[in-house]
Amino acid sequence: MKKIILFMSILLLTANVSFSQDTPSPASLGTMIDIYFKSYNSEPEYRSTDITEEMMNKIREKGIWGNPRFDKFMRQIKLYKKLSFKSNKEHSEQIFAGVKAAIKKDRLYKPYFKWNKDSGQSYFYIKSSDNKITEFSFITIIPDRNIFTVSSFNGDNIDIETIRSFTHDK
Amino acid sequence: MEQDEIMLLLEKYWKAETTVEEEKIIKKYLATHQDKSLAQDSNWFKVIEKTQSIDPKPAEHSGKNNGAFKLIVTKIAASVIVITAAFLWGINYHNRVQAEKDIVLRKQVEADLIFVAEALDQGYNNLNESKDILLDIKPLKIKK
Repeated sequence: MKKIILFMSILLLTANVSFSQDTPSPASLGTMIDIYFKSYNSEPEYRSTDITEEMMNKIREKGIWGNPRFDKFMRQIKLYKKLSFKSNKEHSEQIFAGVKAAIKKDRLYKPYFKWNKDSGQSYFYIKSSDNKITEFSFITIIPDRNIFTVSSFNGDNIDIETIRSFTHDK
Repeated sequence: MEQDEIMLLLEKYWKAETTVEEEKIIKKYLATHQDKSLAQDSNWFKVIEKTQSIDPKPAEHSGKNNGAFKLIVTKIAASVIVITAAFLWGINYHNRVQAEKDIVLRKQVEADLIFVAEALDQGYNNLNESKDILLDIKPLKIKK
């Protein structure tokens, strides 16, 4: 009897270890900033900001969103991250080329949109899980001001189309 | 005669029967006369006199102590008030700084959202324009 109990215990323990060691999901790796931009923390004027869900709730409680639609959209967001540092045009393009190649290789993010403006370029990326957008990030290079920024919105199911409607409310 | 009187008073003294006036007489006599037979008594009174000079007067002692106690209480009360005021000021300052930070962060998020909205809107407008251009293109008529 003792042998059976011992055998069953070992079997259960082994099964538990096997099932709990699945490959980590993309979400568990962190945001785009965590994955691709941590190594640039020695860049001049490197500034990183995190707004957690708790802080988001606090902002909501105070009712200080400039527009009710912002509030509605931000309810989908669990974590917002912003990164900026000083970088001239050549260096920014070099950094972006490296990140772009890494993104292509890792296949965690899909290119969503590219926006060229007079002031600079923006590259939008999305990360999805089970056909739901879990992260919406964009990299912006502003050569005139020597600024490189990355913004990242994270949630369980982000509806990007709702953002577009903000322009009609300005 | 005087010595006999002192001897009698000393006897009364040791029986604790003397008055204050009689004790003063004894003290005065022993201080002014060096009588060997009364040497022990003389030493005794000297010791008493020293002890009395060491002891602080009860009334003065009590008064001084009350003053010191009041000073300590005042100091403690003042310290508590200062610490409480500093603590409240600190909380208020922290809240104000935090509120300012919240506003800066909120503006940052909103600026990002407006930026994305403009980008998406322009993108869709461009798509629609392209679609309209495509619709305007008429298929070529093939001559038979």
